[in-house]
Amino acid sequence: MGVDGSRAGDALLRVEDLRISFGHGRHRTEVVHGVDLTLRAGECLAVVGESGSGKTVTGRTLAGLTGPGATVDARRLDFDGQDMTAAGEREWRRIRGAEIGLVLQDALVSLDPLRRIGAEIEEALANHGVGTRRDRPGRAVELLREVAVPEPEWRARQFPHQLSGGQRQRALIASAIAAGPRVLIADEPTTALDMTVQEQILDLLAARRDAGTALLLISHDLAVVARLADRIAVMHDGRLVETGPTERLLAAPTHPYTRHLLDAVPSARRPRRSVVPAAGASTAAGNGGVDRTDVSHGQATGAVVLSVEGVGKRFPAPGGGIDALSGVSCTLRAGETLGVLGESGSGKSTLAQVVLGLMEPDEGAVSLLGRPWSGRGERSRAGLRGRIQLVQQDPLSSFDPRWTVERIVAEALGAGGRRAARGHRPRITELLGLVGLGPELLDRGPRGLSGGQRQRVAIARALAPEPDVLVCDEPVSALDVSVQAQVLDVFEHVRERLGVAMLFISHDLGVVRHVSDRVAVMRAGRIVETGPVERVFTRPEHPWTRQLLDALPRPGTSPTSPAGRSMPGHVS
Amino acid sequence: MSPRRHRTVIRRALLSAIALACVATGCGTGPGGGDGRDGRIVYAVDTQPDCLDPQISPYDVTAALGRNIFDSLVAMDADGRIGPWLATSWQISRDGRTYTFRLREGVRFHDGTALDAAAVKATLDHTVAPQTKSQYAAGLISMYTGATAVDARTVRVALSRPYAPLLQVLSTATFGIQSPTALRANRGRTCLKPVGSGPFVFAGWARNRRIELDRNPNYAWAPAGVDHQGPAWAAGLTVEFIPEAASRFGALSSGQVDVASAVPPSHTGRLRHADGFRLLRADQPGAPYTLLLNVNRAPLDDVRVRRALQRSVRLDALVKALYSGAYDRAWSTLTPATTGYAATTEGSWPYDPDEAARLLDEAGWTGRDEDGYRTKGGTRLTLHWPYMTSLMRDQRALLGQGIQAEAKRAGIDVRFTALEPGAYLEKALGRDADILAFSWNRAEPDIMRSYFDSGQTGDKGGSNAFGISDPRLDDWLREASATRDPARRAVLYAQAQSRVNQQVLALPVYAPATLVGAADRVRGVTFDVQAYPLFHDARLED
Amino acid sequence: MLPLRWFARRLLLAATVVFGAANAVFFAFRLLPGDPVRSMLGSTNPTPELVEQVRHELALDEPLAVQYGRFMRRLFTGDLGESFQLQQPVGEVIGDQLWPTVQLATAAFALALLAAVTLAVLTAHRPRVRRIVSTLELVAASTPAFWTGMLLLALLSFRWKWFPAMGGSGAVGLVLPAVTLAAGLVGVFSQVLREEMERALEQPFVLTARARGSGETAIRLRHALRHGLIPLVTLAGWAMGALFGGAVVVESVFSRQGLGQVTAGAVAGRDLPVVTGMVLVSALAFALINLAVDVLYRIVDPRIDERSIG
Repeated sequence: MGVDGSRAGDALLRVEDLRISFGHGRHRTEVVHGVDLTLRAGECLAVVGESGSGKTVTGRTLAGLTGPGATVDARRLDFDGQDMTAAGEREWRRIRGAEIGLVLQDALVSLDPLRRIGAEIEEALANHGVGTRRDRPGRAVELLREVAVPEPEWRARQFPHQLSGGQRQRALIASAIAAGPRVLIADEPTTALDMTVQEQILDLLAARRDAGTALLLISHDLAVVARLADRIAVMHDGRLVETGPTERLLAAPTHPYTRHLLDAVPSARRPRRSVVPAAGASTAAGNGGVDRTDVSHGQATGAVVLSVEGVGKRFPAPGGGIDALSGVSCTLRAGETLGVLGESGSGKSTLAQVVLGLMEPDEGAVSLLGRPWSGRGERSRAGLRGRIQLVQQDPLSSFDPRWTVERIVAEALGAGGRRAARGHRPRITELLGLVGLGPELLDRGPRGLSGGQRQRVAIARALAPEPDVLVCDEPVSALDVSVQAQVLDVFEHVRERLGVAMLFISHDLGVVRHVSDRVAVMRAGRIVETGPVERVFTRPEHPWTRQLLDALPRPGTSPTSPAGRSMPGHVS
Repeated sequence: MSPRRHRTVIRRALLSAIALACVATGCGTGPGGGDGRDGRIVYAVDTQPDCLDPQISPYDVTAALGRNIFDSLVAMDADGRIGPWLATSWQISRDGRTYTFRLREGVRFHDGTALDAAAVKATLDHTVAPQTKSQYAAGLISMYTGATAVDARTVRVALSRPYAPLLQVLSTATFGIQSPTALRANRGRTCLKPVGSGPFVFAGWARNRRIELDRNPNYAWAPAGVDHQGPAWAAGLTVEFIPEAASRFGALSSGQVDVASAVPPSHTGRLRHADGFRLLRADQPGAPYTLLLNVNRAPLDDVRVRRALQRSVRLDALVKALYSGAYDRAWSTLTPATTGYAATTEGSWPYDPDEAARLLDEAGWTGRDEDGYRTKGGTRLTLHWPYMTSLMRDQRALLGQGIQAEAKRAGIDVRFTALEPGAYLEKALGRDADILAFSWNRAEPDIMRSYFDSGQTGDKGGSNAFGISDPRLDDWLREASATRDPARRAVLYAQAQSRVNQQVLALPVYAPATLVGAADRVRGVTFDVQAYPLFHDARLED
Repeated sequence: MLPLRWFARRLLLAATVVFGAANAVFFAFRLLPGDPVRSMLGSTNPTPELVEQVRHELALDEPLAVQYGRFMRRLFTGDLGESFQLQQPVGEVIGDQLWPTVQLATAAFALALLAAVTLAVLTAHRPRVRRIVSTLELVAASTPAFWTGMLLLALLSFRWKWFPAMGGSGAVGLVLPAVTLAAGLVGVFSQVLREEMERALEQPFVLTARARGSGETAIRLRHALRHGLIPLVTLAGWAMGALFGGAVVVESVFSRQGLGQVTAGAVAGRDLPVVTGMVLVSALAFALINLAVDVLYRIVDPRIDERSIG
């Protein structure tokens, strides 16, 4: 490794002064303003930025897939010495797949759901004349084996929805590398995957890199980037603000934006501290750096507001059934935040539904504010309904797209049983103020709001009936890092002001660490460990918790081969 | 570097569907209408018969086609005179209740059976037998009590009362003589297997497509008035069903058929002037298209109102406008082609709107409402005229609207409404209407009795829709039906027609005619007395 | 393969539909105004004896419950009675005319599908062509079959004599009627197909396919088309109904044999047994087609889970 972090190897991709704009004439907007990149064989360059930074469109352009209505200009755009600035579609098609591969996120929609896995892989082979018709199926199976998909012959004949998330992503990678491209562009390849699976995918990509492929990794997740990248390029508003070797950039960023990005990441490795808001963003009523260490050591003293005892839930399925929950017990006290940490399939969403009373448990009971909650008809629960509310991951689909913000929040006021007949607007304005939004947003529709604003409206709506318990199901997972930070601050602020207890469900360790007082770790329908957040994160007791924490990407470590880490059987 | 062929389920299914369709339809047969020529005449008709047994079916088309398959006992010529056919001679008893027929020798049915007295008896008995369920023929010989085969060539027919029209009735295709063997063997299925003795043999019926008739090579007993006695010239007759008028006409003009029936009146001009085609026309006997008026209910119970209606419609102009001269305006409840038609009825009343207005005023319809219709005591002068769309050929619906418009100018509100069959019949049989209109094809003035005899109401199987009960008409029409003296009949019917017009019991509109288009290469198509096309003399010239 | 329980349930549902239709036609006829016997005998002045005789033979003079019982009993033995007008068993009447209609419907459907696929594949996401083709499709879908048929006849049969005006045997006689019927369907099919294809073309998996080096046509045919066909499967049920309805008109215009003519004639002549038979046959056809659509759905879209539709 050279001093500047670059690896030896030919420069496969050279880009100078890349400009991309959309639209014609008066409506022409430039989204990428002069980006320079160099990519070498055997090296991983990560392009990092938030949504709107232009990283995705840059990545696509490097495969010639910018999209209709786009104008691409560059002083230089070479692939392996061949000038691609004026290349036609046919040229690009020859190169795509055979020389440059593209891996997208979320294989469930990135693979044709109506076609078998094997067929998708074979398509790549067929396009570039690799192998004959007869041996392509065999090659496809080989490729699946190469990316460590178990039982590849069987899997090749299956459809994407029949594979687990991790297997799908591997299959997607297999189809991208099928024709042996020397450059691989991976656009958010691990988003939507669990932590442990993410680890495996990153190992896979690292292996490709080590084998000589040039890897362009596009991501917003600094932790992922830190694990895999040799060099990092930070993009903001269509410009490249900083480039450099990974270690140096992460340890000592020079550009203020880079610094801001790094700070905004809630880390699972540092104890909680509140976030410095970005300059120019609307500030939540700051409480800058209140130390909550005593609470985070688990000494909440309020009354029990929510109690879950021995809850079990079974879903019928061919071949027996699935125990989504079994023997789950936990308590939530007034004013405290209980984080529920789990990967997909751990049962955390089912737990949320049971706690909210949207699903009846097969065993056990839930009580809210000391009164029985589960096992009653909805009608008898109506009075209590307003005391427990939900904030979901994707507010866009939980809002009626035709309604204004005012109406959305007002609906919650009407449903809460505490109607202020004429005076809705003052109350709504107050609620919006609580989450840091101004009254000018009252008449906007959900589509006119940014992601962060939408989530705040969702919180305001949830707070309208003055609940005692707030159930938050992955509320910040779909948000950009800095926006995420702001919204977490809103939660913080709300809790301070209203003393509301929160059940905070997430798969993101950093987020959970940041907001929770106590944490419950779930796996396969059971709670494997509970305790004050600091204790669990620093001295985990259960092996699974330990595994989760181990899987966190560490900046600066070189990944070892996946073979060294054997994962328990069914996780993939 | 071509993409590999990917066989999706969909594509496979698609290809199979096409292949299946191709195989099933036998791709590759060439265009062209019916079967090859070799002397067959292709004749397109607009309606398909429901049943080919003429004694069962009430429809014109059955009789029309049956005329080529069956022969009758006697034949009627254009002047209304009865001549011999299958019967060479006959005697009528003095009381008019017994008819003795002497049959021709050597006649054989299509299945080889010989014609004898028993065969005639079989057909007549078949007509009135309850299990036959005759819908029309049985009503025509309701006075038939039985027949006896005196010997092989003599048959005696007995009636319960004298009936002058009997010979005319027996001359129609409705009473074509069927093979007794076939009647016995096909009991219950005679509709599908008609066996007669006529110039054409029934060879097949592809339902909704065509009927094939082959030449009867043994035919030798055509009635007088036909060009030649022997078998038909044409090797066969293919009757194609083309219900759509434009399609039918197009098939004729493009040469896919040789003869086409029911030419729309608006197309007659084109045919007359086209090269290679000609229009054949035959006036229909019987009752013209007539509006029957409900004289037993207000407002038409007042003869002044009826007369006013009669005089306020410009029928000449209407008929000419709608039918471009193909049909003539009618003046009597018998068409000019019917024996006994009284030409004196022509022009017997004028179009006189002033007279109409005066009559209506006199009748008390002096008020006017805001739409301009006359009122009496607050009630509008409304006439209800229901009709069935399925019976509206010849653009009769338009005609009705024309009459409606004319009546409006006189202040009469004619409600001309379409009803579906059930509702229509309910109204008709319940006499819950003011006007009902229809025509009737019959070569016998006795049709008037069916329309106006007080005993011939709908529930008894007659056409006296509104229960008209005029004693003088009853007497005249009954006497005319009993006497066989043609001169006396003429007088009686003339009186009847005159009275009907004078009392305005009905309003005749137009006399239908059979309009047939033929390509010039077809010669010898003639018409029988009921204006049905005959093909015995027809032949194709190349 | 197909779960047996699901299939059995669907089959039972189909049978229920047919049963319901039988009940509907039984009661509908008796609720219509007018005397059914007189309607059947037409306006030809039948004698009162004949009317009573027919009424007795059709058991219409019996109490309603008895009639119902007899009707249902005969239905279960498959006896549809005899057509009064045509003096033939109803089963025979319908059976004779079934094949030409099936032929016509299948040909029209296949033609419409083929045309729709071609149009959609060529015009999806191509705004300029799309606009022109869209308009043409709208015209085709809005034009009544009668008019299209007459126009085709007048031009291609009467003037240029390429096709026969009536019946015609084999494929040649099928062309014009099938094209006429298909015209009404093409518009709808290709709109739906194109919508869905365009949506599919915007999905990430298309981007992945492009990234593999697949060309535009290959992507449309191999990827987008299959997605587009899913809503078409749903439409197939509707299409069959439209085809049978349209067949009545087309058969009349082109003088073709078929169930359309039979139905029209039977309804006009109030031929009770034939109409009953036709209603039942249609109900059966619909039920079976919908069953086939359900099955096809599962084949075409492997994402459909047993649980979700159990």
